[in-house]
Amino acid sequence: MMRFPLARLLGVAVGVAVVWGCSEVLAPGVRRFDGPTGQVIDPRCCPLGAGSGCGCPSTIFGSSNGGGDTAGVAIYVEQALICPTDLGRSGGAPNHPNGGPWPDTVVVWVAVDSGGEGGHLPNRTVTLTLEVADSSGTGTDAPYGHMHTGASGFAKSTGTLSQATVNTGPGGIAVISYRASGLSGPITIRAQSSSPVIPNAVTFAVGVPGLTILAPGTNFDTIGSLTIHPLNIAVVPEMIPALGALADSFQARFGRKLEYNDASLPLGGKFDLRRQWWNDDPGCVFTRGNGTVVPIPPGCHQVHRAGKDIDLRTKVFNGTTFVRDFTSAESTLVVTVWQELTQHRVGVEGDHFHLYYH
Amino acid sequence: MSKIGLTVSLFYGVSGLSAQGAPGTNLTVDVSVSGVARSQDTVVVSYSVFNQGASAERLLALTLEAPSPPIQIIAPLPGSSWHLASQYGGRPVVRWGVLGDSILRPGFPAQTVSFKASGVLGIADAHVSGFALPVVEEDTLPSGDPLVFNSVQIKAVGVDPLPPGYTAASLTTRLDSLRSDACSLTWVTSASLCNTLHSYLMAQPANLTQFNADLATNHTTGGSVNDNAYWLLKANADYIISISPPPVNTALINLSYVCGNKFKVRNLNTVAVPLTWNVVNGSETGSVTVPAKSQGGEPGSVFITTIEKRTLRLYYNGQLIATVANGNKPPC
Repeated sequence: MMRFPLARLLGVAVGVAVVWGCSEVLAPGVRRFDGPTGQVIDPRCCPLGAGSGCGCPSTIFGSSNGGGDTAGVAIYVEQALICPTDLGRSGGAPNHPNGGPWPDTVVVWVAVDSGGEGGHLPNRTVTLTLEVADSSGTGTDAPYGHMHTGASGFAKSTGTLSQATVNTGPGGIAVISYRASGLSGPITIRAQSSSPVIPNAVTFAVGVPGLTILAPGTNFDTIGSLTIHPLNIAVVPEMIPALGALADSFQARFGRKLEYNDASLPLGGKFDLRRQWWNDDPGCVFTRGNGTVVPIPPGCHQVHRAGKDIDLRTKVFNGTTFVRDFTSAESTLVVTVWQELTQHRVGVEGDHFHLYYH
Repeated sequence: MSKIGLTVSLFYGVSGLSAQGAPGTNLTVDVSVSGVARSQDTVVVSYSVFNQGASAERLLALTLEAPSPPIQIIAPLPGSSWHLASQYGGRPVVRWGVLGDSILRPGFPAQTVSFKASGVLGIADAHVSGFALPVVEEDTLPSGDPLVFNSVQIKAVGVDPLPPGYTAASLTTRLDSLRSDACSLTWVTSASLCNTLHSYLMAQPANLTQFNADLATNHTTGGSVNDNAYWLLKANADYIISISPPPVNTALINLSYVCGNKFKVRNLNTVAVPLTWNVVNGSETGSVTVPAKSQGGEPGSVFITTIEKRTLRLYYNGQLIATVANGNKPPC
């Protein structure tokens, strides 16, 4: 599996402190949050690597900027990694260590903290904004496999906050939620209150944890790596033995290797084949058997979001020269053996087979 | 490399909008037993498999649940036309996968397939899967096992392991249950024949010879016993007969007086016979088992000695079979 240096992972550390304005007088008797701050997250290590150095905190995550005699915004999220939305047709989210599917929504706590021994200041208004990293994979978005910006000016989806402006009320804490979009990538929530309170931000990951990049095997090759999506074959680890066994059966019968194509991106989410992020693309269509051409919303690759779908080339090439399609016997063997190995089906997606693992 | 597929090849048997049901379920396949051969505790079952002309899909696979794992799976030549598997999702099955589209298309000639397993015939769940693949872009079917969602569920004759501690009697009870199931499945279409077959099994002892004779009489073209019922019931009856001890002929049991109060029982049956005895006008009773006759033809024998000098009566299964008076000879 290909690894990126930790330094590139959400490298802009959580808890961006910006000194902004003058200090504010502390109110006696109020206290600050306790909790972890400034951790670097490698979502590919979660959940199995949680606590093993990958930095995948299972407790609340964020920071408070109140310090000294200066008040600042405190912002925390319930966990450092959530899944993209709309994984259902791709087999769903993996299980969360606390039980149930890994959520696509996270609780966000917001407060304005005094410095020193102080705590939450009541009735403060805080404005929240969302920010996505979209640097063609050269920054904190590198691990997610989108080495591109949006085609045709399409903007990367940010997901949604339940409220964009909150008041901390008499208790001094506002509780809202954030729901991811269908895309994977780092998300930053920026929070600011009226001057001179120091603003703050929390950055966390949206992605499907636990996927593994499929390496070529004895009897299969991996294809389809493109500049915009170089790591195109991330799968759930338990799928890999079945992919090998299918290729072994095919080799034994027909004396040729299989070629596996797109599965999921390294951290799952929408596999935007044509760099259109989450948007509809008039170029993404397919033709029904009766000749009707219909669009594929939202864009190509309907599924492929959770590492439980993989494409299989059914065209035989001699180098780069197309030779023929799979024979009927070759097609049938793939379908029946895949069923036997996994109890899942095979579909047709465009001009190739689609192996379901869900 | 083309990353966007704009065409869908009919070559793959894509399920179009005109399909009546889920992909893989639009076919009707007859799976009938065509023969059964037993060797000790293993049995080879052969099937005739026919995809009816009205089917919309060719056969992808026939899968038979196998509580007794297959020892051998056999398909017609050439082997390149078949993919055989003994497991599905890690559980034992008998699976004949049809490679290519040259056989078992709708209306094409039937194929004979078979398998060998240890046990006795039973009724198994089977799954008939047609070759039609869902189009991913329009696939709204629930995820799940293709044997459930993309197959037609049928009942077929299979092989069960022999029940632990089985006896001829317990297998006869099982056979009557199979008879009932075969009638419910309309593998036997005559209600009166179902009742008659039941009565043969309930008789003491069960009349398996007549049971088989009635099956054979009605197993004709257009008759009330189809191939599945015939082979299922006959093969089980044959097996019970094969493990049942031969019947006892009481005429081959002889009681004679020897001397004193001593009597001798001789048995020319090929099985040992349990007997009981008592004395006339007395309270003495007892039981003995007379051995079977020897391989050389010598009768098995046993002596009975009474306390009192009285006439001896001998019983088999509670029925009096011999009475011999004490001959008043001196003790021997």
